[in-house]
Amino acid sequence: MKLIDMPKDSEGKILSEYDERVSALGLHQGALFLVVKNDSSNPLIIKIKNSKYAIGREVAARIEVQ
Amino acid sequence: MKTIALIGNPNSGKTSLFNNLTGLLHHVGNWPGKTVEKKEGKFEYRGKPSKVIDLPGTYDLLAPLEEESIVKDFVSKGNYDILVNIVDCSSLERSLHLTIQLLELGIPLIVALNFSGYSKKKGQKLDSQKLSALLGVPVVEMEAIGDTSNLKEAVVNFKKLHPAIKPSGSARERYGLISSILSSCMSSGVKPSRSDAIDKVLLNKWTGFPIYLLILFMVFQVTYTVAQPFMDMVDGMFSFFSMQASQLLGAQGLLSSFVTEGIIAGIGSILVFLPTIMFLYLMLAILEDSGYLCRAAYLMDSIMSRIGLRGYSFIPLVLGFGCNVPAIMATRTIRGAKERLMTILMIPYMACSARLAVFIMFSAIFFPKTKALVVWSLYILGILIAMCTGYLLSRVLKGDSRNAFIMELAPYRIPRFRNVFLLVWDKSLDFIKGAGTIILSVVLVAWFLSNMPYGVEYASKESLMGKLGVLISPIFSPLGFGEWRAAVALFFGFIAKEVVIGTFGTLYGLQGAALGDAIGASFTPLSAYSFLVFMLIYVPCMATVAVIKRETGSARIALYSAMYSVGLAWAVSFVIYRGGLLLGLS
Repeated sequence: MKLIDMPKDSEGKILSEYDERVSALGLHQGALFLVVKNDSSNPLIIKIKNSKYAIGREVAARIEVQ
Repeated sequence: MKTIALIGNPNSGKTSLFNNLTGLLHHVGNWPGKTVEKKEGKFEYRGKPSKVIDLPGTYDLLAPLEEESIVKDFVSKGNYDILVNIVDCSSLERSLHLTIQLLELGIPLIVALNFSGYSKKKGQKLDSQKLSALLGVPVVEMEAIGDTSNLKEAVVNFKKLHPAIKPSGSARERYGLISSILSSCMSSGVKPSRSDAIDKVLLNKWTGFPIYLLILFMVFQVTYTVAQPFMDMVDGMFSFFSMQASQLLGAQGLLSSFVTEGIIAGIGSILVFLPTIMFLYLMLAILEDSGYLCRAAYLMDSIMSRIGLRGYSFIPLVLGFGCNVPAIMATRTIRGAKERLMTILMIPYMACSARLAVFIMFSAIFFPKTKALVVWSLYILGILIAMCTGYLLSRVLKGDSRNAFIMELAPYRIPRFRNVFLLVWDKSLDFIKGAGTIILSVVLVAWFLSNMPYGVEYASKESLMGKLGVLISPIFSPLGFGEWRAAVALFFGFIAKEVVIGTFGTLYGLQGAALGDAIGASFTPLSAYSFLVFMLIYVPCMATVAVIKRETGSARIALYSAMYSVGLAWAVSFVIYRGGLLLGLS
């Protein structure tokens, strides 16, 4: 399953990383997250390690989650 | 003297701390990437002086963006005694990632915990002494905008320790280490965030965008309406000065003409817009400091992506409404060379505050009942032209413009008076300095050329200025403003848009309402709108061209940008004027 498929208010764990820089922000393998917002057009909003991020849909489409 | 450098994630409070320690007045904003260049200052504690360097924010030393590479280079060169790592307590786990990277490099480090009061309110309890023991470096609690004595004490008494942090191979390992450290020194009972509740409305699919448009409209509406009485006051003040000078020096003579028609008319005609500029910056500062600007970038992402850009580009574009020069510098936060270049070349079409002064004056003269709407239409036209330019560039420029979009949404904060005041003060001073230096110089040159050759009627067609205007005015005749004074004002407008009204003031030897009447007799509403469109689109100022050259490293790109904007300004004004005539407008 990809991050982009996760509905609003769902929690999950990251299984694959996007790149080094995105991982440094906390989106690394094994990190737990909460999807705050996911509509069909705008970037996703997730909460991870107490920080809130807007993540482009193309990034979210490449991150494997569970 | 010890040299200390402030390092930390973007928006962690480095610049606030820098201002607090040094007493300097650098502007602070509530969005990641505000600081793009390092700054220096000094402070003294217990008679011991220290030099402080404020570095741009960085999330990661290993994969830096352009402005972050300044930090990487600085850290690796080691020209400092201590690095003070500002750690935002409200996102402690993420912030400590950089701390661990610094410890891996064996750098002399003090960890300064900022916003500790805010995180306590959220139910987070942190044992800073235990954290210090686990990290192996001094850890102090402080408030960047409040008491910093703990930090100063730690700097004065600093002794390098030898932390037992070994280099990790990945972010995952570092976060694993951070997790184990925090589990033994922090308990968090996180209360629901107020920012989340606000975001539910401001970022909602249905309400977010209309609220965003309403906020932008309010910004400009408040700017004009609230500033108007103050503008009238400044206008009255300069009319009084002019009258007094005229009485003192006599109505006739070169000296009287120099003072009243040159200096007072030139400076007065531009300083009358100072209240508007102040209110515009006040509104922009509130948007910045509240944390709304990064939400607006989020809302704009799907629109920006249609021309190959991301929401990141939106913040520099909005800052362009204030001044194009810092806006172009703010593009350093954009990932991807193509995306950054596109944004740089779009910014000149965002109507800056200097152009706003001309818009307000002309719209008040020619469109008194619909002036706000006319100014609004120019802003919208500027945005549309920027978007079209972006679209064309996305087709022409090589490279992938679809870079990864990931942006921190900083928590909302009530705008701090000090931050808002600093921005307004700083920008107002810039405007006044501009009026006192470059604008005054241009106005004086214009006055001199209007009086030469000696004995000629002031600012007549026979003067040198008149001859220059007559020479270049045919270029603008097809656009409806072939009047020589308009041509001269646009000619000097290449230097800076602030000088346009000053030049009109000097050429007519008038200011305020009298200047408005004189300009009113030289244009029709249609030709005035065409003039404003030309003003909007052609080169904003020489400083913008210079900063484009510096930021792109290419004189050719800067020249292309300038020439393209002049050609485009001519073409769009032509279409508007000729189209208007065909529709029977005048």
